[in-house]
Amino acid sequence: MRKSEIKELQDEPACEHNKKSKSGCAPATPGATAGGCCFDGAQITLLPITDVAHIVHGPVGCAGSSWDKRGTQSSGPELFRLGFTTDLNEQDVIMGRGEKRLYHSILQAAKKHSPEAIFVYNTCVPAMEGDDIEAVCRMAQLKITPPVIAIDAAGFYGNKNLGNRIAGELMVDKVVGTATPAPKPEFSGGKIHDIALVGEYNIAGELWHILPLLDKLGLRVLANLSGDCRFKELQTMHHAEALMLVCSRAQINVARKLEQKYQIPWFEGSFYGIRDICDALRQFATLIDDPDLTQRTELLIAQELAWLDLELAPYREQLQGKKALLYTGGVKSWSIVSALQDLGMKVVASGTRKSTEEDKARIRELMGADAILLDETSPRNLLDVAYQYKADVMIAGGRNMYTAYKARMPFVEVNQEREHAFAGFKGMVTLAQQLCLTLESPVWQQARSAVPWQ
Amino acid sequence: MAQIIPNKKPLAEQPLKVGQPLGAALAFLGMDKAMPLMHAAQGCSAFAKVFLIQHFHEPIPMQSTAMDPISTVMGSDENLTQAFTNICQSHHPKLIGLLTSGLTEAQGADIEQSVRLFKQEHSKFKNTAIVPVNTPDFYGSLESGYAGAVEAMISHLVPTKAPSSARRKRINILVSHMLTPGDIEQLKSYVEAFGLTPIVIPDASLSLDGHLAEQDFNALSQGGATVEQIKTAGQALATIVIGRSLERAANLLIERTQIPTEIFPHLHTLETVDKLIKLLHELSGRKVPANIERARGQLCDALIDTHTQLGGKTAALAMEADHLTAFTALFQSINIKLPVLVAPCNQPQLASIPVEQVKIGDLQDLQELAMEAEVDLLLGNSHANAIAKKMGIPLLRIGIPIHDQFGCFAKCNIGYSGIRDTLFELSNLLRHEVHSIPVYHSPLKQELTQIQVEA
Repeated sequence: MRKSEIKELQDEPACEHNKKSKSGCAPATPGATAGGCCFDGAQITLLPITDVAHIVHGPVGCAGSSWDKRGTQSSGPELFRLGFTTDLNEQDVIMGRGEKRLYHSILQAAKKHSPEAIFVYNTCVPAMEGDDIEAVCRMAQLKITPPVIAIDAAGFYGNKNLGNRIAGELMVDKVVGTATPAPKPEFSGGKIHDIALVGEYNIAGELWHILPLLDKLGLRVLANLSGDCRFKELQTMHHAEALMLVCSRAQINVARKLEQKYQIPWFEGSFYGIRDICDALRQFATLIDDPDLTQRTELLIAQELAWLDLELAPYREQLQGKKALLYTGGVKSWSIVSALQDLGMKVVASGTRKSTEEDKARIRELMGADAILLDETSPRNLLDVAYQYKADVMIAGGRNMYTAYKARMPFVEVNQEREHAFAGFKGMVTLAQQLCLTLESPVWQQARSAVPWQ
Repeated sequence: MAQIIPNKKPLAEQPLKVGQPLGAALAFLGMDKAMPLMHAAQGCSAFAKVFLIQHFHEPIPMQSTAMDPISTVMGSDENLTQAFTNICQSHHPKLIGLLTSGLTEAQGADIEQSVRLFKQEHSKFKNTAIVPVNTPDFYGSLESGYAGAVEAMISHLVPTKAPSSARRKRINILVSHMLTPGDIEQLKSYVEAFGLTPIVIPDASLSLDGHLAEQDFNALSQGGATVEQIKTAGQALATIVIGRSLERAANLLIERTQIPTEIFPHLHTLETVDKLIKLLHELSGRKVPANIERARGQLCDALIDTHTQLGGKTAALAMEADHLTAFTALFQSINIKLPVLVAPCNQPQLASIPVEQVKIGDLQDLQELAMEAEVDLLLGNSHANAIAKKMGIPLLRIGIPIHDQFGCFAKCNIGYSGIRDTLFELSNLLRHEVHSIPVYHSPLKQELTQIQVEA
């Protein structure tokens, strides 16, 4: 990938980070960095296209330590779970045999697995060597029918966000707009509208908390880039009447480009927390501008809220006044803050690592003026804040789970590796359950007990 | 605290209960150079032998008095004399454990009297101790049979008068059937870590631990506690008892030896293991070794690491009273709910288990109750596997028999590391359950074949 292209991707006019020095796509600091690379980001974005063979061209470190690890779920094909990699060895690198190996790898994957498409991910070693993966893909395409698409997002190009962008951009350029959707099915409730989602990865099956709501409203999800998504669905994405960018600054370019190219209106929203779910559903109705849909939406929200109130009542009692320390990355902090407040909890501090100025203002508005906002921080600091403000529970990403556990502190995991689906109204109940489960576990008292012979 | 729901079914469909003679045989098999002798028709011992072979994957010594129609009607004393003589002459055991069966108890055989007479008349076999125990299989279960055998050994072998010498390093340990050979090894290692000498009665870790010895087949048990060790129990510094089923045996030993005794209902929770280590620390006057403290820290860590996986889950248990007490305590300490407890027969300790009710019954009851309560997990012996499969939930195999897996006898569920292993095993068994919500298929989803791809 050319430097100019990378630069262009990093310059994202729709992103607030563009204006500040702390850009979401700024280079990482050696010796003080956490988080994935560009390849990681590209793969995260595209892997949940489930009927595609995802071939990682590189030595085994790239695919070997990342395959079959994410909790993204499929309702059909499991092809995406396989860890295809060219597994370059020393001889391949020295003798420059990577391209040849890749060529045969593509043919093998096509022959053995009949994928709907083949994605070839570039990685650091072949990128540095100068393997022309585009050319290899073109060569292979002459022999096989499924589309072969090169994803040139090697690790050293930049951080994870850049990878998300490269991948999203490629899909807009090469895949979206190449097929006409299936005819709309019958729907008793009224007119069916087509929508699309960007950035809902169906971690732990969260999408399946959302789809039933959309189905009741007659909103057909043409494609979700990407979670439980099929390649053909993605090809029809341009027919969407509205698009939701789910908690993801990183792929804002996808939304912007689709708007430019196909005039699809979009909004950024979240499926976490009662207020945000309601907002998201209403936004679709607003953008699509169908009074009938607006009415259906209000009716559905009223029903769901009545149900949720009943379901949450016993948990609210237990969680009332409990103090939470929130430190999340990908999932928008204010969204979770409002979800926790909906449960009667007090959020004593919140991370703002990936939040925009706008997000921070919103958090302050929710948490009050004396809210503690934590920017990039160390585990040590995190614990000190937890002790200082007497937090009852920490809510953060998986890498902080064992930080909390070592401090004998209850914990709920909310990031990419989470095992529970917190999205949607049902997800709120799950979140409440998980909070109660850890807060009220008898293990804390045992683990905190002093050694009796000292 | 628990309400006991009696068994009112006329027919047991999938028995959970294992008879008393088998339990008593198990206790004698933890003694060195011993031979369990079933005073019964020969089928009793044959069944028991195969049953234990399949569980332990070991040859099991077992003999029978081979009751026939004549001895059944006319009296069986002659069978006993013949059996004792044959066994003594051909195998020279240190101990014969004589257990009765339903048949001989109903017949009214007076085994105490028969043993006394045999000893009087056959002094040349005085090197063989014979301990009779009444174990009709129409009463109690494996647990009471085992406990009865331990009590009988104390009653017949421990002298009433105080010993002339004392061994300040020796600790007697009475263990219930609930401890596997693997458990006993763990327990002994704790005692030894404090410079004390554990004498475990009975000690299945020296006989049924799956050890390949120098010599080939031996008709008697290949190791275990010795008769001499039981006879000298009074010289010990203290006695530790594991399992409430042994309370009667423990009280008898206290009466005979007058040495300090501590009874632990189980060693399946952090709290009880803490108590044991503290006791050993005080008895020995030694520091708690670093590796034990380390293991405690490891257990605390595992309690936390697994708490969201295990917490809030529900389990159904079908096992003997000692095991029920132990696993109820463990599960309550990690917030696993216990809507279903099934015991093979009533025992005094059942009422004190802190749950709402305990059902006396069989595995059929387990199945019905577990299905009704929609539990996530079953605990029981291998026979419960069919139920687990039917319900599509995992089974943690506990108890006897476990004939469909290798190495059950070596598993350790007690002590810091044993509890930790149990937590990990439970978490892994339940792991598939927590992942994600059920797959949802949207009725509006595009029919892929109807998507028109542009050329």
